[in-house]
Amino acid sequence: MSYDTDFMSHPATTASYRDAQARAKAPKPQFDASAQAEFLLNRPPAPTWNRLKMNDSVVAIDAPTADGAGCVTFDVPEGVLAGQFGVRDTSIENTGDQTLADAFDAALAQADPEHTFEMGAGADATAWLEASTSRKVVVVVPEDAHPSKPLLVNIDAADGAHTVAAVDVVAKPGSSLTIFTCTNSPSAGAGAAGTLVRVIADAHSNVAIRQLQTLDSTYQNLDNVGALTGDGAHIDVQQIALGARQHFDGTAVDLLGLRSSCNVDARYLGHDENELDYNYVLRQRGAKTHTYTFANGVLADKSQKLLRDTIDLIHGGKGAVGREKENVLLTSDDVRNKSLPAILCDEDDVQGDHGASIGHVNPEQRDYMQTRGLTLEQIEDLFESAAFDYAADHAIGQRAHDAVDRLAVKVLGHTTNEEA
Amino acid sequence: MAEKPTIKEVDRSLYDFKKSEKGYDRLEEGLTPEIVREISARKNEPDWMLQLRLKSLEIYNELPVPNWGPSIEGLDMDHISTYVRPNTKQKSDWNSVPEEIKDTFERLGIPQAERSYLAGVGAQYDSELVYHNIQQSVAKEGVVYSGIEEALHGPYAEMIHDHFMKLITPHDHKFAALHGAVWSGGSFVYVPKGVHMSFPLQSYFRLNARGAGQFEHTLIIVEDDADLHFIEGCSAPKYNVANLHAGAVELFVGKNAHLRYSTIENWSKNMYNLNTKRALVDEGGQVEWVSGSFGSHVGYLYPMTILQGEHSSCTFTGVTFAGATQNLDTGCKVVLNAPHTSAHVETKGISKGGGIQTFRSSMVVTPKAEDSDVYVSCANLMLDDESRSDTVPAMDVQAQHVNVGHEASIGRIGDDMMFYLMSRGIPEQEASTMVVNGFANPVSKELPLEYAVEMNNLIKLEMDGSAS
Repeated sequence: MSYDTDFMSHPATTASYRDAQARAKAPKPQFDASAQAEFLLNRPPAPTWNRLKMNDSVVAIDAPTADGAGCVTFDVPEGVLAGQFGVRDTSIENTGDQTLADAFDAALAQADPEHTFEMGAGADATAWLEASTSRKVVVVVPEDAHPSKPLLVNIDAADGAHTVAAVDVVAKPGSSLTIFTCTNSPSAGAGAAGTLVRVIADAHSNVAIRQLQTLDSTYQNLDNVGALTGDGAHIDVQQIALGARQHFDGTAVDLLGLRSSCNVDARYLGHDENELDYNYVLRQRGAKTHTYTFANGVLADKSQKLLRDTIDLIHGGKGAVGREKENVLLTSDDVRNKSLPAILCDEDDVQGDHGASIGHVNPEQRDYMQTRGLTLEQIEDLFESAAFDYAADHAIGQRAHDAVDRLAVKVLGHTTNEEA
Repeated sequence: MAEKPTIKEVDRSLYDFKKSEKGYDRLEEGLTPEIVREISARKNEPDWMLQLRLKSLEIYNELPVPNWGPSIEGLDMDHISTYVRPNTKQKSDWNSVPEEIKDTFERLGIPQAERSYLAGVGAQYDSELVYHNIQQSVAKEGVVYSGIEEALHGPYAEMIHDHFMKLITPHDHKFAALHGAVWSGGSFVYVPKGVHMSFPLQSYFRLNARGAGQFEHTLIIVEDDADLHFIEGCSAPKYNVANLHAGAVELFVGKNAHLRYSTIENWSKNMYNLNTKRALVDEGGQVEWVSGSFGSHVGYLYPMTILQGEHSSCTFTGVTFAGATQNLDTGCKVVLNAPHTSAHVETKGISKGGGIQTFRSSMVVTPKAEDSDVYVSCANLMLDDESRSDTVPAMDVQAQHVNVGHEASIGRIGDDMMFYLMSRGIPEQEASTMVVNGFANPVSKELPLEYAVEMNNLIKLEMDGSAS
């Protein structure tokens, strides 16, 4: 500790400030995709007591024993400029030129002169995913274009493989696009899967990011999202996690533009001994920005969940409104739920609020259903089943719907169309 | 365009007056085993206490500085005197207290408070207690209120041995270890089974010495079915070097007992307030924390409650006001570790003039705490766009049949509220003060009238200094 005689002229710095400074100076990490990896991820902007073990998480991933060729596929809609690039998966030829390959970085340099763009899971996770990317798609949605179909990304995790899809999207002014990623494990085994999604939503564009994860409880998954908004742009994130031994999800949205907005809808079902680990970081930099994060999940068996959810109301973002809401239903004595919903506020003309409800089935719901002849166990099953129903309702395409049913049969014993 | 108001220095003359250190006994600055041995020797302590001190120093040297709170780079232990003894011994009547020290406490209103509504008072000046007294009627019921060092040598020595730093251990964090190494002064309270105290006890801590630390230890044992209200106050004059407060408060609340612990913290703005407070609550027991934090340059303050007995409960009601040059990180921690326990937390934070205020909490519901309830509410008010206000609440739930609720909000004074007040002829400054006082009302209404008035005055003091 140094002796600072000027310590009385200003307040002491916050940990979030010091953390940001350290991150900005840190060198970019490097990973060898063929080796075992262990790294920290999902660090929130404002850390708290270390003994709570919420300040970050550690993931250990075995070295791949298979190459997973052909396990990532893209279905690109008409009306966009797109290039597909085999990064580690060389079984398919590249379909884009270098200009397209560099389109995201070029757009980012222009949209983000202050270099504030970040990925939710952090630098190490980003570096590992980049090193492990099987295939990458770069999509530029032209100005005022509205493709009628979504960009579909299928990741079929395979035994022993690291199966990672990278998606870069630049939505030009006034355009719109839906990105749908489905991470599934159609074959038995154990491995790691992931997505690396980067989005620049130019002025008044509208980008929906939908992610569905239906992995068996033998797989690990790492979803890492970063997005940046221009004036009036809107990002809509929906992430549904139904499986995986470990599911990590880091999502960071930098709301740079005036009146830009972001909604996050996180749904999950924890079962077996699965671990769910989230880090949402919504930086409200522009004036009159709006965010709403809703996390809703069920924890059963011996599952665990850790949700970090940060609204950062940054100086200059006058008139910003940020809201967080979380509901967690606990259906077993052996579950563990951790939540760290932070609101950071460096501006006075803003509103930030958070609400959480964590516990068992509430008495009104329970009584209502029990008067209709359901046992407590059946009521809890109903909530677990509802998580699959919600996923099925929001799955895009038959393949995703089948992925939900595949896991539903394993977890619930029936598909989403059948009665328990 | 209207000119931006300038911040002026708050008039804190009521608290900000210095007394000479002539005749003081001041140990050299820094932290060494020799200093620790010297403190222990001067107090003629039993060997177990010396060993605890030395072990604590070892732990202090091993533990890292917290990486999650406000920076404490401006605090250099090599420039802190850990022991400063005023030139007097502990007295039990104000007339025997040296004039300068008596004048200090009279200006702070402590003797008057004792006469009006307190059952007992302890007054600490720098590292030592200078005054301690308890009403005869209370003492006759078996209530003990004495200096903790005095108790260490008397009939309660074994009780002290069994409880001292058992709840807050030196391993807890770096500044708990520091406290264990150099603690000095503080109070011991023992309320026997079934005794209900009609009037509160109060301890007041004054740190007068420049560049010094104050490390008092408060140990309170409230036996089964007993009831106590304890009030703690503190202040210091402002210097241009760092001062440090790293006290410890250990509270043991028996079966069906009730303890209210109220604090109005008003340290000067060169103070690093790294205090630790903890309560262990037995079956059916209740602890109520009422906390007002107004002073200090940097504050780390999170009273912790361990609900160990079935049907035990706690409430925490707090207000924190961070003005210019302040970074106050406050909140609370609760561990629910038995069935049918409950915790209710309601806090208010205000930041102004570039001050930083953080609400931080931790609610841990262990697997034993079935059928328990937790409710946390924190509301923060931003009075300008130079200040900062964060909420960092953590929840860790490991039991199934529980209800955990949390609400947080951050915003500024509503234009409609100001318009309403000003349209009725109330000047802007006064209207702001009224709104802030109303915002802090949940805390002030929990305090005895005299302390609620002091708290409202502190808010007015901060608000009056806001613009000119």
